[in-house]
Parts: sequence; structure tokens; C-alpha cells
Amino acid sequence: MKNEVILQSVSKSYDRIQAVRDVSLNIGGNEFFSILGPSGCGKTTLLRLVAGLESPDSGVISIGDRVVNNLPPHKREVGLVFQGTALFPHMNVFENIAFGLRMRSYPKGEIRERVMEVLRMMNMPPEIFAHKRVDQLSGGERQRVEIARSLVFEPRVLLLDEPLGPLDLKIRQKMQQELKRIQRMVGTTFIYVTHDQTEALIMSDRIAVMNRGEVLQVGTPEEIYSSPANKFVADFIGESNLIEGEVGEDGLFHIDGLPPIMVSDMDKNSGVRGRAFLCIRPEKISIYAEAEHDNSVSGIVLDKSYVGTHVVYRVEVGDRYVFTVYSNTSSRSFRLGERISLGWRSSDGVLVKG
Amino acid sequence: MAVSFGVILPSQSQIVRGEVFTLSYYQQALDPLFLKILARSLLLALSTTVACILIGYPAAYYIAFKGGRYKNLLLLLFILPLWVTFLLRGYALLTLLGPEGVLNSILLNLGLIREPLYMIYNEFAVLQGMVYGYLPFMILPLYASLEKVRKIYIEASRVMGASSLKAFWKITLPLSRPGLVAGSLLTFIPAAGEFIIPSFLGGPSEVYIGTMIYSAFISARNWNWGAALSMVYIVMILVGVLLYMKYSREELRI
Repeated sequence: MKNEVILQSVSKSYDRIQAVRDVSLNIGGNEFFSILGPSGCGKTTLLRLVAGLESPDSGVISIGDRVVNNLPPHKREVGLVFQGTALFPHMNVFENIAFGLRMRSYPKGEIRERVMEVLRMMNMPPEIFAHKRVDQLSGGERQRVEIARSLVFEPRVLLLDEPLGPLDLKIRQKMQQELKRIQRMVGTTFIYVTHDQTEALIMSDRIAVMNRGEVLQVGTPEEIYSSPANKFVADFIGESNLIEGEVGEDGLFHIDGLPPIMVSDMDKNSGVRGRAFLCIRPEKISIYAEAEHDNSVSGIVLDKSYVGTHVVYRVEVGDRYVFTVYSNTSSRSFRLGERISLGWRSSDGVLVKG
Repeated sequence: MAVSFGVILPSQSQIVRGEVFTLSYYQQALDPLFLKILARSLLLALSTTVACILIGYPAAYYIAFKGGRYKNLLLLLFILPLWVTFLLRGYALLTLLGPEGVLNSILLNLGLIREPLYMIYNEFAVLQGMVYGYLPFMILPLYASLEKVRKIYIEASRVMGASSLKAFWKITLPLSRPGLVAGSLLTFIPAAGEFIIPSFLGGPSEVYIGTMIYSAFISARNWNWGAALSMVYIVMILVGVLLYMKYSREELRI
């Protein structure tokens, strides 16, 4: 696939604070690409660099085949969606969407046609919405208008900065599906910035995980979830049990106070030597009355909470570690204080560096 | 109002009931000569307002968008002159700009000019004084509305294809229009009736409606005539302001 947006060693700092540190990314055409990270990790700065609202201290940014480092934002042919709060208050829905077309001097008739078309694509009947004032719209509607006005002039790339942040859960989930539908329909490259890992996993073709201005890992949602590159990624994406230990000469992972752990892809986790963390996802661990797995440890139930789809147990193991375990609601329930065994396959554990 | 129609005749210390209802004071007030003075006053007020916008808008824009942590200090500098009475500021301008004033002596001493410049007692001096006096009333409301123009609107318009100039015309200017309207009214209305500044800085031929009303009441003691003049002036201002507000509101709707 042809790369639409290419960043080469891009860095940016504000008054001695390095917001983006030597970031290189290749983002393909038609891709739904997410940049995921905690607040302050530099993901918004990265987006603003691509949009041209900031200029990099060093590095090269290209969109399409053009290096855009010195191109002002209005010549970059990108769309930027804020959190539904950047609609122009002195214009109605129609005028907000028409803005980009008017700036490009489209003929009146075509502007009309395109605005109507994009409104229909957003499932917003033009006869109801075209002449509404911005303050008459709900949060979800505003969001859709913002996306519409950025898509209507057919940018090469659509940049979205936590667009669903202010919406409540139900609308957010609906909008997530909407966005995927729209992205497939228009086939534009979407670069989606979010701090919500579930959102990133659900929507993206690929994800870049960022922390402290650096890109830690780029990959598909499956890759990132099942083989995190380091402890931060393992911890940030989904829930995981991370236990520190040491890779032994015997090919086993040694944790103080626990029996040696088998990790089947120890070879695949090449490069991980010495001190490391064992990462096991809570849903990969089974609870048994008797040990019957590759790896098993025993512990005492500290806490349990029912969350509908499953039960979350917190289990104290070896007097000092607390494991989080998801258990099927249909399986046997365990009492607080009950002594149980936890087991997992050697292939379900992943070793990561700190 | 009653005074202007001659129904009440004020004497030295008490108000006496007049004999007849008369329009003669209005005849006097609507004399072409006075209408010319009225027109000149409105023109002065208009040019004061325009000049205040031309100076005030960039200033307010700068404070609002580039002021950073000096915002309040900068704003204070512009408001500070308001703490001193107009009268004192009039004298200050005289000492600054007069033939033997500070500016002239500096220029003379530097040898840049041979004879003192006549910077006062003419129309331009009056305009200068007016702008100086009314600038804070323009800057404050402008600043207040420019401050509310969120950066995100401008950025959004830039990414959507607006050059920085277009972004200003289509986003910043329309969004700051309430401040522009308020500032213009706050400047124009009192400027049209101003009498202190013209009497300080204007020459003897610079007569404005404000100075005329002032002399009608204070020097000539012809209250009826003064009242009639005031009525004509008030009506003119009222009509002007209503037209302006109607126009600016329509503009807002587009």
C-alpha cells in the first residue's frame, strides 16, 4: 500500500519540554491509523505537526508525495476534527460545512450539492439540519457536522483529535461505528488520536502507542495486545498482570517466592534477558481447585466483583503478588479467603522489558 | 423638552411658567448655520470613531492574542488615562503639543524644525485629542469580545483552507463584531456632544454642537435655545444609532 503520510525523525519541543521525540511513522493510504497514549504524551502535538499548526524542530513530514514542512495549513489538503467544539458559532450548519469549499472557490451549485450529499452521508437529513444554528445541535450532531465539514472538500488525510472525548458512552459507541463506516465509505486515510485504548483497539487498522513523546510500538490491534513491546504498552493496552522476575539460564522465568514459570516463546521474546516482566492477561488465567496447567500458582481470593459479562477476582499469590483474573460467570464461584490455584498455558505469558 | 418649546421659562433661580407654546427656538436651532455645525460635529464624531477603530482594533487584537502574561498590564496602560479627569488631560495635551510645549522644544533643540509646529488650535488637534480621550472606550469592549474568539476557531479555519487573512475576515472579525458595535457606540455618542476637548484644542472657528450647547446654557444663558439645540442633537444621535444598530444586527445574521 502506498504511504500517504510519512514522518521521518520528527521532533518538537516547547520551552525545553520535548513534546515529540524523533518520531518516524509510515501511514498508508485508506488506513484507519490511531495514535494512542496517555494525556501529555505528545500525540496531539504530532497531529498538529501534520496539520501544519506547529512546525517541527527537526525531521521531515510528507503528505502524498510532497514534503510539507514549509507549507502553511491551508495548503496541506488535510482535514482536522476537534472535539465537536470548533464549529463556527456565527454560521449555521450549512455554512460551517460549506466553509472549506468556499475557501477553494467552488461554484455555488456544487457547494450546495456537496453539502447536501455529505449531510446525507452523516445520516443528517439536510432539510432538518442544514439551517440549524450550531447551538441547537446535540453533542453527537456537532461531532458529525465537524467531521462533515472536514470531509466535504475531500482532504488527502483526515486528522481526528480525540473527537469522541466529550460524548457519553452510548453515543460514543454509536459514533465509533459511524466513523468506521464513513472511513470505509470515503476511503480517506484517518489519523485518529485517542487516550482510550478500547476505542483504538475497536476502530483501528493499526495503532501507534506513544509515551513521553516517543512512539513505543506500531502494529495491528492484535499484535499490540498479544505481544506488547514493553511494560508500558502491556500495562496501557488492556489489563495485564505484570510480575517482575529474571530470565534464568535454564530457560525458565524466575520470580521470587514462586515456582519457575514456563514461557513457551522465550525464544521469540529474543533479546529479553536478565530482569524482565512477565505479562499475563487476566482472561488467560483459569482458576482450578487443583493444579493442572503448564504453570500454576496457588493463592487466596482477596476480592471479587461481578461486572456482568464476567467476574473479576483479585488473588493474592505467594504473599506478595496480586493477580487479576477474569472468570466466566457460568463457572463455579469462589468465596473470599478460599485457597485456589491459578493456571495458564506457557504460550499465554509474554516477557517484556521494563 | 418643555423648556425647548418655551412652555417653561427659567429665570435666575426659579422656574417660571412661560406664556405661549413656541417653535421659534427650533427655528433658530434649525438655521442652516447651526445645521452645518451639527453636521461638522457628527463628522468629527465619525472620524473619531473610525480613528479609534483603526488604532484600537490592532491594539486590542495584540493584547488579546499576543499579550500572554502581560495582558492585564497592557490593558491597564490603556485604561490608566481614564483615572485622570478630562480637564487635566486637556491641559496635559496643551503642555505637550503647544507652541512652547514639550514636543516643540525637543524638536527645536534637536534642530529638526526651525519654528514651532502648530499642533493645536486646529481641527486635527481636536481629532487627536478626541482619539486620545475615547480610545479606552473602544479598546475595552473590543478586547472583551476578541478574548472570546477561541484560537480553535481560527485554527479550524486555517486547516479548512483559509489563509491567515481570510481567517481574520471570515472568523475573527465577525466574531468580534459585538465589541466593535459596543465600542463604536460608546465612542460615537459622547464624541458627538463633546465640548471640553474642542474648547481646549480647537481654534476660535472650531465650533461644535457640544461647545454651542455649552455656551447657550452657560455664556448666553439662553436656556430655551440651548434646550432646543440639545433636542435636535438628541434626535439626530438617536436616529443615527438606531440605523447603525439595525445595520449591524443584519450583518450579524448573515
